[in-house]
Formats: sequence, C-alpha cells, structure tokens
Amino acid sequence: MTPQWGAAVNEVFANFMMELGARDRDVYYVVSDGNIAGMQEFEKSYPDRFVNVGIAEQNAVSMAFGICSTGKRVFLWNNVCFLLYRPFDQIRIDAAFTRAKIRLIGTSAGYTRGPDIAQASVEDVAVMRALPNMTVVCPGDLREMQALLPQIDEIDGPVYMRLPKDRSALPIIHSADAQVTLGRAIEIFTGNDAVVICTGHALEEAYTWVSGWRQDGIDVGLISMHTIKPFDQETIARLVRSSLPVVTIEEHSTIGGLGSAVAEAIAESGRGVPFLRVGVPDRHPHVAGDPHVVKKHMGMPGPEEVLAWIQQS
Amino acid sequence: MSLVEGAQEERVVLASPKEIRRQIVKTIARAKAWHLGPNLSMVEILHTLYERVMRVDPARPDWPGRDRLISKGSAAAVLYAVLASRGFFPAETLKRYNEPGSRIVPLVEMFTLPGVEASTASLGRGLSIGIGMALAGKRDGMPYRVYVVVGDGECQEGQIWEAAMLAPSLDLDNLTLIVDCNKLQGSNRVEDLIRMANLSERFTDFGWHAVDVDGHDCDALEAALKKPADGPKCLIAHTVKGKGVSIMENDVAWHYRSMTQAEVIQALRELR
Repeated sequence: MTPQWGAAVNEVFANFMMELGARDRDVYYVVSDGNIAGMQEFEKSYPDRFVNVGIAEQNAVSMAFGICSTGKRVFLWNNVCFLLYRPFDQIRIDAAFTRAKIRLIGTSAGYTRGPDIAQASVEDVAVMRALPNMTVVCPGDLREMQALLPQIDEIDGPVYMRLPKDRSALPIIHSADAQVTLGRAIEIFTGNDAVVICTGHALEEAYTWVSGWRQDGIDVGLISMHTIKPFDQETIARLVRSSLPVVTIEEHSTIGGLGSAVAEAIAESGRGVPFLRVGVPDRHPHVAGDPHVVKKHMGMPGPEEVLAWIQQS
Repeated sequence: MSLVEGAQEERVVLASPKEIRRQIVKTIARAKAWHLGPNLSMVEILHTLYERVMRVDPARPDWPGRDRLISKGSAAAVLYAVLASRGFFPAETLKRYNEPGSRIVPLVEMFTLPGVEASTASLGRGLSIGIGMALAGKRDGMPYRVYVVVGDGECQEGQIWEAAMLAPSLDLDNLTLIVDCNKLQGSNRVEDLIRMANLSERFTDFGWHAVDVDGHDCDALEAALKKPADGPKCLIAHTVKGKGVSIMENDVAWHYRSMTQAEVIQALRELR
C-alpha cells in the first residue's frame, strides 16, 4: 500500500515562513544563493528580514549568530550538503556553543538530490546529534513537517531539520488529527512479529513495506522516530521489554544515525533483541541515478531481504 | 532617545597602555600561559576603543544599545585586562585566568566574563559575526556600532573574504574592522608565508573605506575610528608583535612561548 502525496517540502516551508513573517518581526530568513521556491515571496514581503549572502555558507552561519545575538531567530535554508558540511565549525561554535536560535533547515537529505559526493548527505545526523544543545528532527510526512516547524521554533537553542528534496511532494502517512510532538515517537502500526523504526523520508518506503507485509498477514509494527535528539528512549525501552525483533530504516549512514541511536538505547536497556540496521553502508557510491538505484548499487537490503531477516529472527 | 540612555557621558579613564601591558604579563605569567605576542600588539587598539570610542555600560553588559566589540581570539589577556579596567568586573578576577576549575579559559570565549560578545579563537569568524550584529542593528534602527578586531595572519582564512565581500554589499556603515597587523603569525613572518603586504588596498578594492594607521598611536587610532564613512570601515593598524617587552618584540617565538621567572622580572621591569 503506497501513501497519498501532499504539498511539496518547499511549499510547506514557504507557507510557514510567510505566516511567521507576518506575525513576528524577530524572524530572519537567510540563504546562501540557491533557487529556493518561496524565498522570493518572503524577500518581497519582508525585505528587512531576508538576507542572501551569496555562495558563502560559513559566512551565513556566523552572521546568523550575530543576528541572533540581538534577540532574533534565524532560519537558514539550504541543501543539507551545503548547509552543514562546509560550515561545521561555525555550526559547532556559533550555533551549538552559543545556543543561538538558529534553525538549520536542510533539504535534499540522503540521496534525494543526487548520489555524487557534492550533493549526497548521509552523515549529517551523526555529526549534528553529537553537538551539545542541538535538536535534530527528521520529518517523514506532510503532517510531521507541518507540526514540527512551529515546535522547533519554540526551542531556546539551535535546531537541525532534515528534509528530502525541496520540490518533492511529501507523503501523507498520518491522519489529519494525529498527534505529532517533538521528542515523542509515533506508533503507526502495532505489531506482534517485529517492529520497524524509521526516520525522515525513509518513512514512505518503510510504510509501503510494512503495509504490504501486514496485508500478507505478517504482523509487523511501524514507528516513526521523527525526532533524533532528544531521543525517545522510553519507546525503545518499551519495545525491548516486548522482546520483538527491531529493524531500523533510514537514508543515512548506519554509523551515527537512527540505527546507532536505537542500538545505544537497546544496549543501555540491559536486555537484547534481534536487531537489524538498514542504512547506507560505510563506503561511497560511484553511480548515477535516483535513490532507488543508489541503494541497490550500495547493496542496501530491500523489502525481501528485510522480511527474510524478520522471519528467521 | 531612550536607546542611548545608558551611555556614559563623563570622560572614561582606563589604566594606561603600559599598565595594561603589565597586567597582561602578570596574568599570563601567573597562568603559565602563552600568546604574549598577540596580546601585547593590540593594547592601544582596545584601549582606544574602550576609553575614547565605544559606548558601553559595564553595569549592563547586555544593554541592547551598546557598541559591540568582536575581539581577536588569540588575545584574551588584553581583552580581559581592558574590560576589567573599564569596570566590567574586578581586576581580582584576572587572577583566575586559566586557573584549573575557573571559567576563564585563556582564549576569547563567550560565557567566561561579562562584556565578551563572541568566541573567536577558531579564526576567521569574527567579521561575519560582526556583520550579523551590524545588519540587525541597522535594520532595527539601533544607533550602535560594531567593531571587529582580527589579526593579519587571520586574514588568510577564507571566511574573512566571504565577509569582506558581503559587508559593503549590505552598506554597513555601522561596522568597523580593525586588522591588528603585527606581521607575525604562529609559525612564521606573515609575508614569508602569504604575500599580503597590501591589505588596505585589498579591502579598498572590496569596497571598504580602508586606511593604514599606526596601531600604537591612540590619537591616530581615535581619529581614524571616529572619521565618518558611508560604508564599512577598515583600519589596517600597523603594530609590533610583543610590543613593549624588548625580548618579545618582533619575535615569532612569543606566539607560543611561556616566560621563565627571569623573563617575567625583565618584562615587568621594562614596563615600569
């Protein structure tokens, strides 16, 4: 069963920023070039709160701290690869150390923009969750993104939001009245055979896989872990108590992301469960194509392999 | 205007540059720390800023209308000595510089002492931070100015030039960059590594109002700092690394060297 599709990532963000800009004069929108749909409207409406610094990502982050130091909040929008990697030291000091209210909104996460080394971003969650004071959220569907945007803007510190390609439609997995609360995992299906935990845009694929298995009578649960930091340890502890096999699915390195966070939580619970991490293995791709092509090229397990693992666990 | 209401109207008198240098030597000697060269070169720059130019209120270090200084990251002892002299905290506090267990780390860092605006010891970021403060101030109609001090060696960082390109494009006439041009960096003479003798020309080419000035002449610094400009200003302040202590002047070793007891005595004697 595949989900329905809703508004695109950039539309949701543009709507949020326009609405926020209209009621709050302390919000800045900062970009480092890029052709970002929606930013022109903000710039036109609120020119005194918009800055395009040019292709200078380091400058953008340190400048954002300077702006925040005067009591503002700054939304920095860019592709993850440009947003975080070049200016990591600036993020570490000028965002994390200072506790500035910088909202790092990263699109084209994983392989959604391309698998080349310049545009891929599969180590971002690992480095961002290691930073003290940093909140890390990875919305997986339209409702999660819509619900989490205003919640991250309440945080008295820096935040990283990880999103897929900016012009791509967001799936609609949760019902309109679903409770999406920062820091709290959402149980989409309860299962008695195994549980899949996913994060970010892997939710659509995980939902499709798990729905298919469930239709075939295999009772697999599904959890959307949209917040990576602070991490919902309680949900993991509860799963461990049930002793079910656990599978994590993410479009991110198996080192340091959701899989690592879940493994740490399982280990610290003092009990063990059968555990499988589905993610990007520890090497670089050398292939052109969409994420499906890349994942195949990288040898990442598909639904058949994961199901076989669940059935033998 | 209420925004300027905490500005001190009376003439502020700080400890003299020589007294500040004595304090730097004592602070660094007690802490068995280093960075003497980069601290001693910028005494007059900070002295002039805090005594003659900047509007600050030590009782309210977070006063929104204050002028801001983003200071050179390797030179904490001089900044803390000047801030103490300006009344931000008691001079006694300086005894805890780099003392195990104290908050006062020996590099410029936020959350150590009141009056420190940013953590600049990872080099090259200060000008960008200053741009953010200047931009927000200008757009909010706040009358404050932002001063940024960087080293000449620090200008080898690429981010400096990202910021140098942006500030004139944003018409930041409330921003002043001061390059403590002491001609030495950690490993070598600046000019022997990177040919950058014409710094003021480079900033002029980038759209700044750049001037060369004697960085140890408080009157010249004051005049250059107070000269009006319709865009961002840059002072290339020519200084001597290790200024005031003969064995340290123009000697690259004193970026990292600690003093022996005999050297402390000699330095303090020369600074009497």
